[in-house]
Amino acid sequence: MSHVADVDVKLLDLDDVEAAIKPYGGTLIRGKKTHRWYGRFENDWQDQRAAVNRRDPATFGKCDHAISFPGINYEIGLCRNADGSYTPVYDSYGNYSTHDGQKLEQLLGVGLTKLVDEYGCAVTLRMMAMEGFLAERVVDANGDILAVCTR
Amino acid sequence: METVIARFKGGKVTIETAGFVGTSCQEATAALEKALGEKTADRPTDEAYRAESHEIQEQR
Repeated sequence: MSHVADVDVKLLDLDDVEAAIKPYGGTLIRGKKTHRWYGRFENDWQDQRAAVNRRDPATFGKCDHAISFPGINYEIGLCRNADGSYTPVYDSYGNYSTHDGQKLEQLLGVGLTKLVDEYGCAVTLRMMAMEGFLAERVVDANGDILAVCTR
Repeated sequence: METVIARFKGGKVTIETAGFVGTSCQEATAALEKALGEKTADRPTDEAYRAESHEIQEQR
């Protein structure tokens, strides 16, 4: 038999986060409680995407772990949720000098969806290899990330 | 050959299996689905329907 399953990916394992960011030159800084961002809440962005719609501004810049990338001053924060998963947070402001949040989106997509996709792929490659599958990461013509596993 | 293809897009993944015998495909991916996050849908493929149909025909 065969089946198809849809899963909303959650960041649960820090080792797999490290594997996901490695191809991008990223470094996971475990236990770093702040991530670099603009530095203060200006309340000047009313877009639906604005973090203020989902998080208390008092928590901006705070995290449980941080991710940095070479050549990008702003960092991603990983904030631990009650269920043990992590939400990646970042400031998308700026594309110049020290304020360069746009570079994070250029690298990993709006909302950092590519980070989550790469994480999911890292989990899949690791787990399916343990099950005896030959597992490899493939990027298709649309830019979608696939884990292709055979045995 | 047993195949598992996971396609990631926008923070979601669709996992498709092929070539498994019986319900072993679900056993093969159960731990993976749990490790990845929250499953929102699960359905048999056309191949599964065809196999089931074949089994019914053989029983007749």
